[in-house]
Amino acid sequence: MRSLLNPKWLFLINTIPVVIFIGLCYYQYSVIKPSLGVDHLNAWNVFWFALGSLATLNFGYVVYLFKEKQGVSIGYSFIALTCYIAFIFWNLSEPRRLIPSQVPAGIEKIDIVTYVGTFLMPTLLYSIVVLVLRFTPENKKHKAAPSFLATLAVPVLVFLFVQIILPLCHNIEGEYFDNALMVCFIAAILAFVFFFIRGVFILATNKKSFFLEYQLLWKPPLVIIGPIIGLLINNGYLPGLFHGQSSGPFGDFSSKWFYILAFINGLLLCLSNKENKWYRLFLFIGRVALFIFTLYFFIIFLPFLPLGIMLIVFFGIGLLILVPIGLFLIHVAALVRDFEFLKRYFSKPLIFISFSFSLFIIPISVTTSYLYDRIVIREALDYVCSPDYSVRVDIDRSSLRSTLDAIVGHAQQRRRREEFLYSKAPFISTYFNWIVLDNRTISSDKVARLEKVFFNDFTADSDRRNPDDVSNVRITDVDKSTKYDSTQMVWKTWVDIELTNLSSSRFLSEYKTTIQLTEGCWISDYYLFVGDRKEFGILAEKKSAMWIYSRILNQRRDPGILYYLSGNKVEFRVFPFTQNEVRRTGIEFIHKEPLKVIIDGITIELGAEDQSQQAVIESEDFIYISPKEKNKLQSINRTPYFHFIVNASENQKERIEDFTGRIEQFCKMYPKLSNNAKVSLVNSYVSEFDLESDWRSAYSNHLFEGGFFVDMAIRSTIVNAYRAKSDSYPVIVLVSDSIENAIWEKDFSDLQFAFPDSDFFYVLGKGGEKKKHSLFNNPTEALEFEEDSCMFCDSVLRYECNDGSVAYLKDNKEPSLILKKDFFTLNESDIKDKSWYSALAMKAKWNSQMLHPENTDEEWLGMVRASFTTKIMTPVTSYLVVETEEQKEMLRAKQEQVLSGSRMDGLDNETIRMSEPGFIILGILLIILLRLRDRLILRRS
Amino acid sequence: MRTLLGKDVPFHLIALGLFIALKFFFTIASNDHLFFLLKPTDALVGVMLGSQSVYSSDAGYFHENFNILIDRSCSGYNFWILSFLVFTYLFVKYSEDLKHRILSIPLALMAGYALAIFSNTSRIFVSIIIQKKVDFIDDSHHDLLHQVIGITTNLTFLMLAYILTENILKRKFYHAKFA
Repeated sequence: MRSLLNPKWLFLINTIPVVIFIGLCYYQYSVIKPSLGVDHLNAWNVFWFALGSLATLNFGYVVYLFKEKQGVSIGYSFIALTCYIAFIFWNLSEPRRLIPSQVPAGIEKIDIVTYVGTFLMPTLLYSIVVLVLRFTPENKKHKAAPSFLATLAVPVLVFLFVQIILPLCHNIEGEYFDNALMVCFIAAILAFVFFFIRGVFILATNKKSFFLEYQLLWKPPLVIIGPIIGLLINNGYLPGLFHGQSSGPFGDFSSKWFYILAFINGLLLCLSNKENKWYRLFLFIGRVALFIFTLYFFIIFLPFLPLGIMLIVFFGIGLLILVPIGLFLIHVAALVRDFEFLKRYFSKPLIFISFSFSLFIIPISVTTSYLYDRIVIREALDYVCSPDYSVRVDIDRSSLRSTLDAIVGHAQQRRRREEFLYSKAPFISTYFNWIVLDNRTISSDKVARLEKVFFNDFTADSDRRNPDDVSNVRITDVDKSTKYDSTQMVWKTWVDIELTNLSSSRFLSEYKTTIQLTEGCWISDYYLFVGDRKEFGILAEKKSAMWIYSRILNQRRDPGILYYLSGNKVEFRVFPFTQNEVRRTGIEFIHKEPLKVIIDGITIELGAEDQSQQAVIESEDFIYISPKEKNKLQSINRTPYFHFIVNASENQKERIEDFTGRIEQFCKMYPKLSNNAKVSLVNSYVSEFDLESDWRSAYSNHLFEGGFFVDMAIRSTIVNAYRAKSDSYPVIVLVSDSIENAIWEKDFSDLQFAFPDSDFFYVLGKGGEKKKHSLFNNPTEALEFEEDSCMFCDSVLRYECNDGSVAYLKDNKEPSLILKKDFFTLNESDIKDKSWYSALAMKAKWNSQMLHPENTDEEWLGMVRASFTTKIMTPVTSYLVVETEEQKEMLRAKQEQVLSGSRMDGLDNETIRMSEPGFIILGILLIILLRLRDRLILRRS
Repeated sequence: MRTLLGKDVPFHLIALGLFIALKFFFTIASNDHLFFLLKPTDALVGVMLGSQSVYSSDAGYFHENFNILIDRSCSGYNFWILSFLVFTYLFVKYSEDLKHRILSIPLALMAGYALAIFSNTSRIFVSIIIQKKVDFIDDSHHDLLHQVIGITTNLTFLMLAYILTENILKRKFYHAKFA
């Protein structure tokens, strides 16, 4: 124990934790620095200066002690206690001083209060231990009783002070008095801890101690019952404190594993130390394995040590806070005794190997479990956000549930509470975020989507917003100017719009409308008048632009935005409009053919007479067919067949008979369509069968869990039918009582090119009621179902490509785009500034992407860059007008963050990184080899 | 010996502190920060392979011919700080006086740097050559192979450097002592 005065302990207890603490704080500082104001920056400067000075002085003192070969002195303990307490007090008195509340929610924030406690409290405790050692000299006899009496006297005196003296001082107020009280209180805490440790120290060094002889009397209450009661109180299971709260004050330790480990740990510590070497070896392995558990709670509770005394005074349960610290001391003592015994029978390397192996059992188990969760959450996100329609996946729901609970942070409110260490437990949660989520946040939209798809849980659904307020901003004037670019042989048309707020309300209004573009027409520029200044739009990455727009909207400044919704639909928004305000804006369109664009119900003709000479534009990857050429194509009717999409999600098992009956009845009504018909059983996944196969038995054995993922079912049906390129096409029929709780992302306009035959799908609802829905415009809204002689007989145009393959095109007067290959990479030489052909290539690439969403991560950055080069808006970019330089800077920064974030993620998978091997493994191997070499040399000599 | 150990400890602690600080720096360092390691390594790899690379701040050095990327994770930084520790240990152990002990730390940094450049270039070169020869193995085993090559190369050079340096220093130390 006296060896604790060696300065190496000061280095281990102070310097290393402080360096780690500085590192963590610097990381936090670099992340939040852009969000900090002058006051907070000054506070950080003070923080760095104070912590840096303390660390340097401490380290200098360690070096001095080494040089002078002295032990840590009483003077150091007093100075360290004063300085570190002042520093901790400065931090805790105003936690928001360093990390203000205006730091954006998405940024990872450290808990400065816990960190200060965790990394600096060991120094305080060590200083007290040094005082104990110095005030309890070896050459004198000491009695433990006075120290324990003094320990008890401290809370009693504090109690009397609070009850008797403090009420007498009710006239004295002010900062000085408050600070004096605080100093007294801290002194009381230090006295309490000092006397407590001194008492324990005297007992431990007394060989004929009562405590050593009657261990079974005091050990079980301290190492088994104490921790379990502590856990129960923290988790709110015992009446009184924290009862019924979702998470305890020290963290969420509600997992049953905490109780199991606490019990086993206590049991192992209570087992007697028999003189049998194998028994002791196994006992040692068990105790080492669970030492991580003890150490974890020791670290967690160390910062709360001062709180213990307060709780003893006021609630009497503060002793439980001291239990983890007591447990730690007992555990260390037990391990030391085991080691002393074992080294008489086994070689040191064997004990060392047993120690290392056992110590990592719990960390390795937890890490393995987290790594598995990492794989599962990534698979689930890929499946929901960028699926590969040709691959069947199977997601582990229980792992996903745990991960989502941890992400959402309300594990306590969930039904399932048995998962191991997933809740907001200190340090473990941080480790979880690092391993599973790479310290990134998953957007609430994505979490809501996963909840819906895999657990049929719509509670987190952010899509269910209230309908938008009806705006009274209207187009009051439209002007256009068209130019023909003879080099490119395309039209460029500026449409100038005057918008007026007709509302009598004094609230600010937003203009919002949808522009339906046709194939071969894109937006190539945009402007908005901000006051008298004509501000041209900035082409930005879509996610960044929408983020900035929403922020500016909250600040009530002037933004305007254009972005693709789905297919060729573009959302157009301008904000704000005061009462009767008139604002002017304009959009430039680039297009090959003369065409009509409808903006807010007003039809605007773009271009003049048709000057295009090229009826067909063909590249290696795609073909553009003009309306002229389409007129020459043969119109045919492909053979329709039913593709039933059956709701086989959670709670739908009892509907088996009913749904089967509806399908059979519908087939009887349209027997021709039942030939080659297909059935998809849909829950989180889509299981497809031929109607002629034994799908009924698969249906009855189906696992009815998860949500009704209609979006995936319809998309995969369309894509698979497109890939088949046959002379038949599916008529999509949903079989479900209701489609309100089905999972829709948006409409299917992005896939319109792949499904030219029909614009509709059908629903067989309750009692076999038939309804028609649009695939490309608000799919959840039911349309009238009219039976006529030409049902399911839509025509398409047949186009034969040069290579003999056949493409089917929509039978209309608009241009069409054919993909010669399902998937291709953009040719960079095709991408030029304001080039219509480049826009065509980008559109073809986007269509290809819709067929292969699994490649989104790899292709997305290339598509954004291509759009930037051409300055033509595509579904991955957005035109945005911002008012101030500050907003432009914000957009630039956000865009850089988004682009750089995905750039590394999207790095070509086949590119090999020449990463160097981990240095830990290298270091360990080096030490082992050097040791072996030394032994060899010793043997030889 | 105890006296000698006592004198060495502060220097070992300084080296350890520097090692932790350097390791922390690595967590926040970008490719640009590690230019001093990446540039010479890339130049040597380029000469050995006859390949030209393109540098970008976010990706590092990309050799299109071989489809390989040399970025911060392959800079040899970890090897450098590890060899710094090893060299410091040896230099301090065989130093005769305080002046030599003080000089040990900057010397170890430089010696580690030279060894890191040499070892890292060799590692990348050997890795590319072997991986090209065994292109029949599947992708999942390529990573493992890469790791094995990396550990073998780095460990061998580090061991050799240790033994060689220790022998040289030992001779000098005893010559100086008994001269």
